[in-house]
Amino acid sequence: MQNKINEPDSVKTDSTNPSQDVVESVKPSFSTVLFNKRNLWLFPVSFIIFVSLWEWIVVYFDIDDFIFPAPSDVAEALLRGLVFIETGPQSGTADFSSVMQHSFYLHISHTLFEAVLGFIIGSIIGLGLGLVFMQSKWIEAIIMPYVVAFQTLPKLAIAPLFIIWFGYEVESKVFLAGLVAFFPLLVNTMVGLRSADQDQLDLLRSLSASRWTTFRKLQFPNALPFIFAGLEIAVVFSLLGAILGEFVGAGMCMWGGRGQCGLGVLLMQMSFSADTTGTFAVLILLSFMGLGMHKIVQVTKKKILFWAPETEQTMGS
Amino acid sequence: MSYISVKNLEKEYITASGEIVHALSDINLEIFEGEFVSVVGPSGCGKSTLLKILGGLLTKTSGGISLKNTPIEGPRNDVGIVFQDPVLLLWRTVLQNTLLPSEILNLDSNVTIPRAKALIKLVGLDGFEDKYPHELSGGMRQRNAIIRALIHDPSLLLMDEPFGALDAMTREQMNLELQRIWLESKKTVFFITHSIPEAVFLADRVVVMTARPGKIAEVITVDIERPRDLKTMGDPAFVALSQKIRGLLYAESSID
Repeated sequence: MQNKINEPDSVKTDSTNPSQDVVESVKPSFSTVLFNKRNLWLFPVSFIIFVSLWEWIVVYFDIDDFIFPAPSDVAEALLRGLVFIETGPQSGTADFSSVMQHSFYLHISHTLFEAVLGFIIGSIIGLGLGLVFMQSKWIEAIIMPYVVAFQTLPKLAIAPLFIIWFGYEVESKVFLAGLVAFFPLLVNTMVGLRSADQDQLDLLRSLSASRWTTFRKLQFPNALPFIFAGLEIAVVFSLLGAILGEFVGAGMCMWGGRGQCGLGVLLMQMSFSADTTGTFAVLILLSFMGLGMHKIVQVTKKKILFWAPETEQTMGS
Repeated sequence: MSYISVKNLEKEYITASGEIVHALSDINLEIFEGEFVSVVGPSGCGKSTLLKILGGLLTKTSGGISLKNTPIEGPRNDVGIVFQDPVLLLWRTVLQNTLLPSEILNLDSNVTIPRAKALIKLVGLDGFEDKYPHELSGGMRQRNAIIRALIHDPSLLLMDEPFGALDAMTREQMNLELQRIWLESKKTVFFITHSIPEAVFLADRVVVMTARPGKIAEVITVDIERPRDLKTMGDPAFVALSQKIRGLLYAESSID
């Protein structure tokens, strides 16, 4: 029934109004464009609405910025931190209005240094151990239980030990960042190396390929999508690890700064001085850093793994 | 003098639950050099097992199997294998995938690269040498897999349902192409398929197998002139042979 009603109708508009069709295909209507390009505007528009609503609620209900700061205040704190003019602490006076002795950049550079170095070290060790474990079932059977047991420990509980072992300075943070980056790489490397299917292995075996050849020509390239999935997780984890290390034990500034440095340190200081607005600003910075680091890994992955189907790239994550 | 000789071959598996599965039972088969042998049979009749034993990928339980009078005990370098899945390495181009066996066997690239290019031309993939698998159609990938199995000039080509995943029209196209390649290269081919017309169309002889345990029911000679084309499939001799094979397969499976 429905078809009978609809069909002549659609035929009619098609045949009687061909000019409209042509016009439409040349210059689509504004609403069509708006709909097709929704990926471009939907987020910015909703973001503006969200932030405006937030601002309005804080102002309307007169919420103390110690409880929940308005976005405008957060933006101001962020800007202040970024264009900070280094005056140093006023001698003798306790300045509670700002606990900051340095601009955000010195803190960012500390945390970034710890996270990136930890990421590199943790990834290399995770990848390396994954490769070694796959060569021998014996090694895997002996070592793997320790690795899993270690991984199940909450990192927060291990962090103080790392401070004791490696000190308050940058080493303990780097090692913590490395520790959390290590596990995703280890597991994904192992899963990836096992992911070659039986036909592929048979193909190489039928040619009497050596173990090294099989690894080089098949298993390792086959594992790359998994390894990159691990890297994507590890890079975010390493930032968390560095912050965690800074929470537990603040290290002195490197590169000539006075006092203690790192975004985690800054967060702690701000929370002690009830600087919620500043805390929000640092959190925003951190999320941008995480996004940026993740993006770098992702772009590298897309460059190297152009051949891999998208579904395979997300496996193992 | 037969090229491949299989005598009283038996293969048993022990499953994870400890059960013994009789995959192949009393297989006797002679294959001659340059012959095209198709194998049809229901799932689980052990035809893939037989292929893997021929390729040295599985070991026999008992009986004898030899190639050119040498017992097959493991992988050998003069065998090319084509699977149902093209199994191309995704990070390699058509040319690189074609060259894979020759790289593993350390063959002289001065010889193999021109040979790979000739093979690429033979299957109509010229112009696609530098394309990756994800840029190819299913039929093109399978062509790539076939020429990869030919690059090291093996004397035996083992094909395990190579066209099973292709659509009907591409499949017929590939049958014609495989016949052409075979007529040009005169390799010995052991070809597994589920399709009776495909088996008859390509083969000099069709081995009909039955399941549980995997046995050879009958070996049927296809006495139809080559080259065969799609019209051959309407030929009374072709139809009669197909019917006969169908009869053999159904007679056995109806006992189940």
